[in-house]
Amino acid sequence: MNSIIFLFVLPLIPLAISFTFPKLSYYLGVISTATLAAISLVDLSGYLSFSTLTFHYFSIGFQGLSVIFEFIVAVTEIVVYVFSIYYMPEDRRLAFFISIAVFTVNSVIISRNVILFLMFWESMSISGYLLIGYKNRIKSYPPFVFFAFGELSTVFLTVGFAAYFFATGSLQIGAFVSNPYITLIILLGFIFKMGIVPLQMVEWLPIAHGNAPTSGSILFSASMTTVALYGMLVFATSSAPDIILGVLLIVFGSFSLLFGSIFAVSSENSKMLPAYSTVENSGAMIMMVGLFISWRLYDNLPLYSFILLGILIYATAHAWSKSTAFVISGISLDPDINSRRGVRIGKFSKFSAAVAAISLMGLLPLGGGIGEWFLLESLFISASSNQHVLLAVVAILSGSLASLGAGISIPTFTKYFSFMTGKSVDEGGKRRIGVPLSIGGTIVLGISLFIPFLVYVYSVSVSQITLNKHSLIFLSSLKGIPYPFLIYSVSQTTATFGFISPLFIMMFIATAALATFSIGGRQRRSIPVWNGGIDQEDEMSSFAYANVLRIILSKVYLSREEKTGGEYHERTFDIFWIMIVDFALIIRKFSSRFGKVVMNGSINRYIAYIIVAFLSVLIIVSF
Amino acid sequence: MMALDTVSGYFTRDGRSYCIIDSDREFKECTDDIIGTLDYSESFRRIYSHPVSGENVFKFNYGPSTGGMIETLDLKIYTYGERILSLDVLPGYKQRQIRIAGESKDLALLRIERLNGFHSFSYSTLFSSAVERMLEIPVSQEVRYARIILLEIERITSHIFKTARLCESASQNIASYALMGLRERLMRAIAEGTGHRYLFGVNKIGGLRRKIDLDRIVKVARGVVKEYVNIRNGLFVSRIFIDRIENTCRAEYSFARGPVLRAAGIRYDFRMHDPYYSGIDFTPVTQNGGDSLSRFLVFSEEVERSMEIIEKCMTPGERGNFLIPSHENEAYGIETPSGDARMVFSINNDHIGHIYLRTPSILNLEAFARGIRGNVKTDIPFALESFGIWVSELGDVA
Repeated sequence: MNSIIFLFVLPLIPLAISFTFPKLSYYLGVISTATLAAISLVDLSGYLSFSTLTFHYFSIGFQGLSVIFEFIVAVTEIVVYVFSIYYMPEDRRLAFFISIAVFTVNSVIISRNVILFLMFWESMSISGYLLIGYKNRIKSYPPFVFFAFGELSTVFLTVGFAAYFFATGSLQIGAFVSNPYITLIILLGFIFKMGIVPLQMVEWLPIAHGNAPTSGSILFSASMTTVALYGMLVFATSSAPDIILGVLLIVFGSFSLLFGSIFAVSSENSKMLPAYSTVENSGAMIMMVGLFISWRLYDNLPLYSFILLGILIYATAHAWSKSTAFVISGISLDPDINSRRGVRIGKFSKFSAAVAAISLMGLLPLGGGIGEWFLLESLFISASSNQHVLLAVVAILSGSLASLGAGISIPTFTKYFSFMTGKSVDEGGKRRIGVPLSIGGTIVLGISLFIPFLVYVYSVSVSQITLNKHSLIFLSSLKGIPYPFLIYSVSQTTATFGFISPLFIMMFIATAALATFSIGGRQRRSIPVWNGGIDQEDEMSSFAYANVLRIILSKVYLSREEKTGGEYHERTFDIFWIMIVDFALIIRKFSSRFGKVVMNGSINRYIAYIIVAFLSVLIIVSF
Repeated sequence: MMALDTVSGYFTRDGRSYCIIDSDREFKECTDDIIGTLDYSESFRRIYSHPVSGENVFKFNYGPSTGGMIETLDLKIYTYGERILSLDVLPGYKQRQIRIAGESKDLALLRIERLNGFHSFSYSTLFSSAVERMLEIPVSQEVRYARIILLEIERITSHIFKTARLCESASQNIASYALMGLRERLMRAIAEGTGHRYLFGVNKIGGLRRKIDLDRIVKVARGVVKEYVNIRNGLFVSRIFIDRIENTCRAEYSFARGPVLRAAGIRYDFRMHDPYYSGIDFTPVTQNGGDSLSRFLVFSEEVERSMEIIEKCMTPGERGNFLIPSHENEAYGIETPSGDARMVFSINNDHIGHIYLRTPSILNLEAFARGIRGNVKTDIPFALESFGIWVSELGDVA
């Protein structure tokens, strides 16, 4: 029997016992996902390989991008399972839905056939719907919104895959698609799932208002988004590149990045904030996919290999950091960042939370910072192009939006970390999130510590994906930094464009800290907070922290400052969500009138309708 | 147009309440009910409390000792971040009590002119001229015009200082330093011409204590005002400066005093009613915006108007003595650089009896506390400096 079946079956083990032994299923989930991650890692290192298993039209496989994305997703799922051990461990239905979501996510990645892919993709949407809607008391519309947009994604993928079959004559993933419209339809199907602007409610609505459990939020925001990116890359690498397609993705991505970060910073909901951050990060990754497609068209192998490597590093850092960020939200059941008082967490847990937050700020030397460097470096290189003016102009304009959005993510996660961990009450639940938080933080820190290894194994895979015979490893030594602790980028003419060394930055920080400590010793100068010369009374709130942006960007937030019943309050709105709701109301009104006029139960009109439809079909068939 | 019969003073004596109304020279008995209808009546007791509540609303502390504020005021900002929903002002961190009642006239004068060093001549003139009128002590026309000139010189120095402070708060540092240099030049001329840079000890009951070199002071003042106008015109074309003060802290309240009131379109200047200024052609400067820019426009133009008054007083046609006997129950007044101050007192056996002093800062602070609503926190310095509020004027004089 082909050993790949083992990879398929492994996530089913916790699923099998989830309804009877929920907590045990979580422990088994940790083991199975850790095994999957380990297998992926060994495969990436070149010590293991799997052949494709075909059964009639269906096939599953584990090569190239599948391995990398299985590695990313499996590590995320470890955090999900560890968290679930401490979070509602006896809830049988939750255990079942988490296990089935994990299973479908993994199955999508190893599907090598578009029908199988679509089947598991749809299963993933259904499992997401179940995760949001399994509680009876919740509002009914968030799960339906999630499902509706999930179905929109499925519709595009179905149409795209049908066209794919007609164009290539194959149901196997990886066939060359020369028609850019087919690629566009397929990519849109994945993009809808990633919650890109203006459809970002796909991301935040179910998470923030759907009362989704935190473990479900991690699966939506980290795993499913990553799987959608996987789908994009699978088809982007096997399709004919097209500059319009590339530019469209860059522009869409940059808007998503900017608006995602703008809405994230003003969010006062502990899950909505990281969910909006996912919209931002999805935008960044889509931008890089656009750059990848564009440079593939111009046949600059070193550059698009570098960009593809960047996408993979970015996706890794995002998925792992975001998982840990969502674990932080479990610090209290109160979703309001402003009023919450979370459980007291240990020093290492707090350190882990800080690591995840700083990574999501996009600061070096952490993973998010490295991913951000790849994004900005790709944009700078593209912007410096004097041969491809359109791409250069788009890179400059979109890069400006991206930089603005990336900058805003710093106050966003400063707020998130400080207000989430700053105030605490002793609920006796110290261990509740301490363990998953510590594990998540350690994993995020591991990206920085083992970045040369990640860059190396990812680069080797990138070379295989781009069919480059000579592996292009973006590691070097320079200015006294030994190999392989320096990552470099390439310009359009293959010369080195720029470089970073996360290790050097870490050592610099550590050395500076040690030097300060050795000079200052244990002396600590404690200075009380100066509050104009009087005792401190009130504290700055998280709402106030972001309110300057609500005032400055009042047209974006549709900020409403009102005084009703003698009480002041301020509201902000997601302008895109309001537009969609308004549009839906117009459609509903139109449908209602249309129904009353045309399909109003009158038998005469109904017969007329059938006759018109019949004649129309006859005319279409005749010609 | 707001009513001009604003109650601008309120005090109690022997169990009875009295109020001062803008349109009347005399104070009148009034009931507490009437005072209770005034929504700013608490400000007469130096209470500036406007609490509000709401979702995410908290009190943000600004002051009493903090960057950007020259005066020791503690502002409690009700906000949900940046936007000032309401404001409490606690002025009590540096408050003085000056005891006048029971003291001799000369000692009372000495203390009153130290109430606010920057406006000392205004207060000493208010007290001296009031005593002179009560005791029917005539002063020469020469003294009268010298006092007017020095009052206007004090107004010019005060307005230049206010402009400099406004520039500093709006990060126009070069203009601020240049203006402070101008002010210093004028104050040195004042020191050389009068013996004291803050005009302490210049006034006495019945005249001036020293011979004043007015020519020297006025000569310097001409040059200073000319340069001031140049700097002001430069500020008019500074987009940054105008952006920061335009629409900032709209204070359109009839109880406000001086340039604050006139910037809201009210044509009220106590110099119009002041017997000292009778015969001097004078039109108050007004603006309609009510914001910091309007206040700046008013007091900056008043610098030129003051210079015009000074030029008229340098060549007075009148000679002889000057005396206008006081009315019964008169509430004496003077237009200080920050607005009119009103004073009520009696003299018993050559000693000062009960005394009540309502300074312009008492009411202007309430106007600031209300006007700043809706602005953002960073507007506070641009707003406050345009009001010319002095904490020393909020002290008790009894």
